[in-house]
Amino acid sequence: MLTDYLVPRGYSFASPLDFRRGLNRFFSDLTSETRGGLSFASLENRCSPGVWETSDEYFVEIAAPGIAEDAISVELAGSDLTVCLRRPAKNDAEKNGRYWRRERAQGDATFAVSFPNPVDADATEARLERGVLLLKVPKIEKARVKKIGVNKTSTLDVTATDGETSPQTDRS
Amino acid sequence: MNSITERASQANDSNALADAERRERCAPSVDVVEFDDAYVVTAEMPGVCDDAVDVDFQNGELTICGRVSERRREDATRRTVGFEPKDYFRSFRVGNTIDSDKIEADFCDGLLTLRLPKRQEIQPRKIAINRKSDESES
Repeated sequence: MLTDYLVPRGYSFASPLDFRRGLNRFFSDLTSETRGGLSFASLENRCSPGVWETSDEYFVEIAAPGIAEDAISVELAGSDLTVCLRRPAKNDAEKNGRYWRRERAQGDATFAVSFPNPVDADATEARLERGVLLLKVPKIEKARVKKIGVNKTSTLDVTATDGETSPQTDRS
Repeated sequence: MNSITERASQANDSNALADAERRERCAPSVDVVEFDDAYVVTAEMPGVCDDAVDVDFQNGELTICGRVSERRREDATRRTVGFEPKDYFRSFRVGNTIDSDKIEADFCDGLLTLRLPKRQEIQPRKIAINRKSDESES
């Protein structure tokens, strides 16, 4: 039989104080989504795409362990990204076996991400590596964050630019 | 090697574990299937390199461990709480039904497949039933 260590071995109650401490830790572990230093509750998080942003691109990561490239489709319509995964059907041998534990996701999956900024579909890259689908989605030039240097008032010419008025002149 | 030290550190009071370290590792999703002659454990460890997987069997305890080497760019900001490659760790207590010399492990595309053959003597065996007529013939 295969039995998991769901209760970590760190819990030893030699004195009543240890018991209280252990109990406190047990509940804090539960609420902080970890048990014995291992995060079990991140299971549902693991199924959704992880999205990261830098000043000029987005990164999307999707777990795709054991999935072939041709079983993945990636579409980008405007700022809406859709990723479909087709997970291989369980083979006959597995159907004949008896499951003791069945945690791995099954069936096909579709993930959708809407980016808040316009993105460049032509420059988007998708890479499947070590069971992780990594998408690099660049923002289009206009939507990128620009650093604007701040000048001192004495050197800023507020009247010059083609009829545009700065907020300062509006107020006056 | 690494998995042994990690086991030791977990066996101690895990208060000693730094909080950062506790957050880093997560348990891989597994399927455990029993067949007549073996158990098959399939563990999902996306993001782990082939050479960063440790499978350890000691004192009836099976330990799976995988490390992710890539770290995220420092200027990237997380926008959703979704998948993120992390180090994986999980251990199973395996009964004395396993033939530990014949454990097979295969790791491909973030998927670890372990085959734990049952010991010969506990495998179900078909017993041929002799008919009385056969016996009388011989």
